[in-house]
Amino acid sequence: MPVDADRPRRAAGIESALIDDQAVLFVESSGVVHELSPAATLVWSMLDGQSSPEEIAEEIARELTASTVDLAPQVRQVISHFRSVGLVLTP
Amino acid sequence: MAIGPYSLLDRQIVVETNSERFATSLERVLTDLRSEERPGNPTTFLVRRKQGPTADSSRWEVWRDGVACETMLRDHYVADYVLWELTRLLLESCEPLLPIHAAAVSSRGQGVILAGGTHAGKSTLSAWLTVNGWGFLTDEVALVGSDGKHGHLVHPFWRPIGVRPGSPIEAFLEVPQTADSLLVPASRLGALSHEVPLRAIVLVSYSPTAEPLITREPRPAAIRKLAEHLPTLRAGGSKTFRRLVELAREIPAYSMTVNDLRSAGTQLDDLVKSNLGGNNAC
Repeated sequence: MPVDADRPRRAAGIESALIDDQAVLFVESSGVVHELSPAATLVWSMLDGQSSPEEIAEEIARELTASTVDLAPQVRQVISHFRSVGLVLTP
Repeated sequence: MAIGPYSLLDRQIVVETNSERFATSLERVLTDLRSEERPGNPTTFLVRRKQGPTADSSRWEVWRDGVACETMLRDHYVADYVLWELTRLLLESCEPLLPIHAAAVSSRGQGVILAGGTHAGKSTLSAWLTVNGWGFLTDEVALVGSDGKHGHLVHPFWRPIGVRPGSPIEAFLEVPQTADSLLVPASRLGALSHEVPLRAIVLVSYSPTAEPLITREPRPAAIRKLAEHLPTLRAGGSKTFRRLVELAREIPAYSMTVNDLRSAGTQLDDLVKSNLGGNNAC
């Protein structure tokens, strides 16, 4: 399936556990464990390959009842970090 | 000549050597792993000294069940190497137990795992605690299993403790150190502990300047940090990861900065006492 850079999708082979509102991810190929912050966990939970960073930001803003705040730059930053450590597919 | 058998969980080990001196030395070092059971089908290590053309050019060869493992070892390193092979054997065969690169001790029937990187002071701290009345489980590989009655259990691996020159543990040894490290059976320092319920995991770091401090570690961070001490995580994949998560959900984890063994011992004593009172908070 082609990767849409504007609709980020999780990489395969990642086991996740949610504990105390934080996701902990295990990358099977490398054996590395990542601990996500609560905010990054929200972003991670919405990476479905269907939503753009802007849509994810709007969804998070609604959940946080902060709909007037533009969270898109932060969401893009988090996704960029995910991409840099191989958690998100790169086009 | 053959020495042993030694026991690693369900495995029996015999060491054969052509050096009487090495046999005597290794028997003394491995005394806590000695098994009284007759070996059925043991793993056999052959440690052979081969004399070179000159008096000081001897070399050693180590074979495991007929397969060459290592050669050209220095005299003082042979026992360390055999011990490393035994540890590797344990890691290969410890399933379904979860091995953690950590020391473990017990007090009042409660097990505490002390995890940390190289030179974090795990061995020294576990040796110190053993001298001061704690039960010794291991200074290298803590084996965690579970049963329905007790929850998580930590099992012993009574390999000898590696004591480095200058270690505070030297004061408790009657034999002066002559090599880079001295392998000391824990039973020479105090009591050995059998398996006990696991009550706490402590992530140990050494800092000569920091105040000794023990703090509760958030569970997500505990998983990430403990993952660094799981030698079978990559090979075991998601199954091992899920066991790690389960462990962190059920067993409280702490971080402890150590700069003074006495203070560290006091803090760990307090931790065990608070657990006995049913209070996991620190």
